[in-house]
Amino acid sequence: MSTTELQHRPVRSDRRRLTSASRVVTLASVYAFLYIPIIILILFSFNNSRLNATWMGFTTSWYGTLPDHPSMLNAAEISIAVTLGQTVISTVLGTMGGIALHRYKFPGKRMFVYFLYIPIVIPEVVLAVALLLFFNQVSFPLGVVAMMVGHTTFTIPFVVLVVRAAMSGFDNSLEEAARDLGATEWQTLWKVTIPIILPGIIVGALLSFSQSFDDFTTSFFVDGMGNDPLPVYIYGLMRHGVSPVVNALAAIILAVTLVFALLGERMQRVGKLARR
Amino acid sequence: MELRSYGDVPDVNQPRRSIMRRLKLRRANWMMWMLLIPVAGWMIVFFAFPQLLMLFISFMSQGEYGGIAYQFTLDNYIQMFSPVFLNVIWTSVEFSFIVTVLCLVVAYPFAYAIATASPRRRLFLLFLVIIPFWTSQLIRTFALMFLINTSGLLNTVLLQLHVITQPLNLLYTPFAVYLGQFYAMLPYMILPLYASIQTHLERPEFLEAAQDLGANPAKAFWKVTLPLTTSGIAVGSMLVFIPTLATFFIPLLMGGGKMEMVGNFIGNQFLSSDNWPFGASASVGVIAITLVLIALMFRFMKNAFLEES
Repeated sequence: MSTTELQHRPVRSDRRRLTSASRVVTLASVYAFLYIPIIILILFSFNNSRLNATWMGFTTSWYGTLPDHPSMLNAAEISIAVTLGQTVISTVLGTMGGIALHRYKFPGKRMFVYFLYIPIVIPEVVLAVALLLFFNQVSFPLGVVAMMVGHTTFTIPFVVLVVRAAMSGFDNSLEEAARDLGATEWQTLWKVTIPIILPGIIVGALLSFSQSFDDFTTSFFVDGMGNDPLPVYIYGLMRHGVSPVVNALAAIILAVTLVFALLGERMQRVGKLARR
Repeated sequence: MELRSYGDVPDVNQPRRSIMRRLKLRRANWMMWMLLIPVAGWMIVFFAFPQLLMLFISFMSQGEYGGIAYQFTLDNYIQMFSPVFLNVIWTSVEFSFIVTVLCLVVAYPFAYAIATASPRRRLFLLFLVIIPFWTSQLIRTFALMFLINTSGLLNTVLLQLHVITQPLNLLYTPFAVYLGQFYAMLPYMILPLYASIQTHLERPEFLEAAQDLGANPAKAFWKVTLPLTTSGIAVGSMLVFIPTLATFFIPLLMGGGKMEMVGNFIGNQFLSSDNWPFGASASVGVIAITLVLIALMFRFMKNAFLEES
């Protein structure tokens, strides 16, 4: 082997194949791309100007004017009603399903699990038009309840998934012990199983909440006239041009979904620590 | 093998002990039915039934004034081979392919850069990728619209810097749709790539062997690193390609309805065109394609697991 070849050989233990300058540029530009639009959106919700183009000073007045728009309040009420309703249904049903799938064996279980998870992988627009068709065929009125049903249908699989994951470290012998000590099935469920997996259930509920709260596609198809929830309402506003009010509203939705997601992540960690 | 019959992927991080415990599953009793029937019933009524209804309607005729005429026909499926629909499919496939490649090209060096950072910093850098992942995709799309619209910040800055003399019409163009989809999908490509590059770097012996045999860094990358991270590339590509194929609100918002992907096409059959049976057949087609792609992705993931063990 010639000496020049030897000189070309990098130090073995050095895992860094990219030079530090190109690494920094790569990291910085991708993070900038991911974050700048969001930061600008939030920043300009505090901009003291009707026009969005230039920075005219800090104000919180746009947030203050939000309640002055009756249609916006209406949209917020609808969003909250749909999201709370669907979160309760999907959390209860999903948790029950998750517990059952963890505990029992039954014929066709594998197919049933596949069936439950399919809504996660197929495009939402396909779920949404099928629901529209269904509501139309059974003459069920579009609106708040229809949206609640639609959202519940695509959030249940996520709750089942999260609850099953939370139970993956669950010791089945705890339930056995409870029953051996004379607890009924109900007591075992309420006093042993649910308290132990509660963090997982809360994570499922938070995930379900944030998915429903910022859903656009399903609501767009099944909301009916005059029942636009916030995301669809903002879409309507955006088509008529931007205004700082829209930014303020978008920033609030962003904050709500992010807080719920972060809380979920926290809970998940707490749950994992508690199981150790 | 026994594990797989319970229908989920074993969590590799869980100790074996807990897997053994899980095998002690109980037999069906009344409590199981109490727990299972509500969720099964809900999903059958509001998911399975509407999909079957969709399948049924896809074989019905279009009514005279829109709506559905209950007469059996295969026309809707034959219509899927009409130039109009093939064009929509082609637009979607081309779009998804280009977005996937763009994501791959940007995410690979980025994921590599994270994987080679110090362990402490790595965690923080990853966290920064996961935050947009959690953030509402819809609001992130609004943020882009806000940034690039005619009177938006990007145009203002470029005008003031005299780079341009007239505001650019970026929003409501195909470019905007590409940008929006790329922006939404990038984290989905980064995470699996990172996982796969990270695993590769933990075993440097292959790279060392390549160097000992005289490969320069570029050659070592092409011949060793890239082939060994194929599973990450495959999974990331699927995670981007599949949702992009039937993307709905991004073309609607960023393209202003001018660029019609197959998802928008289906939506329009139900909303504006009022050709529900054709929309139904297109929807059945999209579900079939999606499920095939998902099955392929799991095949890739399984192969990757087998290779590693």
